Amino acid sequence: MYLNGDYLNKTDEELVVLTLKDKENYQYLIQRYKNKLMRYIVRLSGIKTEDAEGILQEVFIRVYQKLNDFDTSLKFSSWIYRITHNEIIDHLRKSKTRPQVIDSESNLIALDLLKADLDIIKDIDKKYFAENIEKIINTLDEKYRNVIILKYKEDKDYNEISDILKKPPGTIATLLKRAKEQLKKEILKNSSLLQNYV
Amino acid sequence: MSDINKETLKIIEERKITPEPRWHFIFKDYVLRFFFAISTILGGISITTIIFILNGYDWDIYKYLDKSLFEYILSSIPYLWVFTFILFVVIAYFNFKNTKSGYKHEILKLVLVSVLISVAMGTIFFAGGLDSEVHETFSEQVPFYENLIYDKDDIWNNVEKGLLSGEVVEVRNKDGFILKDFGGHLWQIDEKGLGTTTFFIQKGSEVKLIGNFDGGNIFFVKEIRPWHCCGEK
Repeated sequence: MYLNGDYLNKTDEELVVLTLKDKENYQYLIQRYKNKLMRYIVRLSGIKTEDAEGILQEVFIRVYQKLNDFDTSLKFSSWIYRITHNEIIDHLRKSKTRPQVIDSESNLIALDLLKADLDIIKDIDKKYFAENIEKIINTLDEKYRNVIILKYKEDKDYNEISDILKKPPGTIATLLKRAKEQLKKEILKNSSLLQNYV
Repeated sequence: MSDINKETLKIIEERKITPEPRWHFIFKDYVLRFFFAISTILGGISITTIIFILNGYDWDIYKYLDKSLFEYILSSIPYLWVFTFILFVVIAYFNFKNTKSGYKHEILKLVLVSVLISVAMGTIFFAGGLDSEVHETFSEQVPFYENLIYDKDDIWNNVEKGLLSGEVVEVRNKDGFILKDFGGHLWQIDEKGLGTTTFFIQKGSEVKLIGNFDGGNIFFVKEIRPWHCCGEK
């Protein structure tokens, strides 16, 4: 499919306006977000790429239908992540599955930042941390997993997470604090189990 | 990944999917805001009725009812209206929370704002005289309403405990008058034991009496108070 180079430089908001005039322009928004959203779907749900593609396509169709609902006081990326998040949750509820652990290099984004934030675990082996963090994140309550993934894997700030999850920024700060506490506890529990075993 | 750009546009084309018109979303948001406003107004009406009912109480007569002040306060709370008020605050909260920007506000802040607006409206309605209308309309139109609300009618219809109320139908002489209670029963009121009062008794006056009951039709009054107080109609 041919993509016009001029359009690739336009802002998301400009592309929304252009898409509303001509649906062919929607491909620029899809192009811009398909990889990011695909990663997010896989990270949050842990489903296979083929299944994730189905969700992604539903997301793009839903976004197109709701294009007039886009509130320009938000970032377009927050709005599209919100729709994606809801679609993933719907999918997980319908299929009654719990998110699965996935092994991929892309999951290790911002892990150093996460490790630095969990300051009591300096002593924990970096390799152990990298190998086990996915499993441990997966054991967290859904509300905590959501904020940890958005903050440390999708690199979203508090306001963006607030817009994506539709919760007040203060609540996001509290959730993140509790998520980190739960994460620390789980990491320490798991590392001591590992040491005892060894 | 398959060519999702192409696939998505193909599906949009085949299923003839179009973006929902903007007015759908604006309308939905306005509907939520409208119901938020309505719930807040209804919360305000609940508050004005609570104020009306509480305002009608004489807080010093609990001793005649064999109750402590605390028991009297507990029994005087119009629970039906308090519950109605809470219900409308909850409805207002959920309506506002579901508006486009509603999620940005903390629950406590939203509930507090909703309560404050309702209380402010209730006070304005009370000052504007809407207070008695609601209570009286419900008393007349809603079955069992009176059974659910313990108001001053119940308190002042306790002749055995020395509390009586009704309308003066005849002023005979300075020692007494005839009173028709709100149940339609006629009483001969003996004023011999009446202390100093500034209240002027005349035919048609609606009054509250504290005194003693002789077991028959005579009530020995010690104190007379007007039935309506503080600007009540």
